[in-house]
Amino acid sequence: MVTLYSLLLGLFVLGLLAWDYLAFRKHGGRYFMLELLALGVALPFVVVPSLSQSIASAAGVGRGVDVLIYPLLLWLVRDSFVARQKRWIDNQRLTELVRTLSIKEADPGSRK
Amino acid sequence: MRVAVLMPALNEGPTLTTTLGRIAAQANPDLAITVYLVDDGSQPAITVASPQKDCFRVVAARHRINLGQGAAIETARQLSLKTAGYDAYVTMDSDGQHDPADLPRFAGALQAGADVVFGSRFLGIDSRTMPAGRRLLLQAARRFERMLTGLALTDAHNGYRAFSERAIRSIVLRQDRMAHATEIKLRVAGQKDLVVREIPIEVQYTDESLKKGQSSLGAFAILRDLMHDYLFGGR
Repeated sequence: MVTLYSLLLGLFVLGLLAWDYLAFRKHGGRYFMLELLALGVALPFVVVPSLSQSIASAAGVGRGVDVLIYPLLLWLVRDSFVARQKRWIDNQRLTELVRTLSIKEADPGSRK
Repeated sequence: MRVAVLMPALNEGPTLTTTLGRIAAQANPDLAITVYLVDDGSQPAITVASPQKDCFRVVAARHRINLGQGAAIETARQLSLKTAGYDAYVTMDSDGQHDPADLPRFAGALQAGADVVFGSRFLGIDSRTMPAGRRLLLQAARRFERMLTGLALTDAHNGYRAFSERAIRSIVLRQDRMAHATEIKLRVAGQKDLVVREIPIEVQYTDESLKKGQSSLGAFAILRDLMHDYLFGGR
C-alpha cells in the first residue's frame, strides 16, 4: 500500500536524481547511470514497504527493513576502509613525488 | 669524524639562522658537519643564510608542499645517503630546542660502539622549562612505546637522536607526520643486532617552540597514523 510517507520519500529520491543529473551530466555521466541503477533497484522497496517484508519472510529474516539495512551497513563499513586505504596509498605516492623533486632540486651548498 | 645533521624546518625565521650558527660553532677539523636542511613547504620558502666556516656545509632541499616532519627527515636521510658515508647521522630540530653542543657526545657514543643513540630528557639533566602537562604526556607515551617496541627507554618523542650508517640505511620512514618518532623505535626494535644507547640531554622550551610543537591532541593523530600503517602498510 502506498502511504503518504513513502510517496514523499519517492518524490525526495526523484528530486535527488534531478539534482545529480544537473551536477554530473557533463563529467560523471557513468556515475549518474550507476546511481540511477541503484536507486531504481531501491525505489520499489521505498514506495512499497511490504515488498521487502515479503522477501524477508521468504528469506527467514524477521523484519523487512533488516534485509536492506544489514547488507548496506556492511557495505558502508567496508567502503569506508577501502576509501581510507586508497587515501593512504595516494598520500604515499604524493610524498614520493614531492621527495623526488625535492632531492633532484636540492642545493648542495658550498664546500669549504 | 664526519657528521650529517638531518634537519626538518617549517616556517622558521631568524631562529634557524641562530641554530645553524650554533651548529657551525661545533665544527672543526675533527668534527666536519654537513646539515641536510629540508624546508617542509614553508610559506614563504626558507632562505638559508649559511654560516661560512671550514668543515661546515648546509645542503638545502625544499618540499613544494607541507608533508610533515617525518617526511622531511626521510628526505634528509635519502639526500645524505647519496653522499659517501658519514660516521654519524643526527636528527635535530631546527627551532633551537636542541643544543648543538651535545653533538660531540652523540658522535662519541657512536664511536664507542652504539648504532643508535637516543637523547633523553629524563636521565639526570632536568629540562626545567618543560611544561608539567607535557611531562605527564611524555611519560604516558614512553610506557606506550615500551609496550609496543619492547625498548626500555626513558624518553619518548625526543627528536635528538644519532645513528650509525648501518642503522640509518635500514630505517626507512613511511610515517610522514609525528608518528615517525614511534616508527623509528619500531624499526630499531625490529633489528636485534643494533646496539642502542641513551644519553642525557637538555631541551630548551621557548614560547615559540611550544606554539609550533605538538598539541596533546596530536597523540590521537599518532595512534591513527600508526594504525593506518599497520592495516595498510603491508610490512
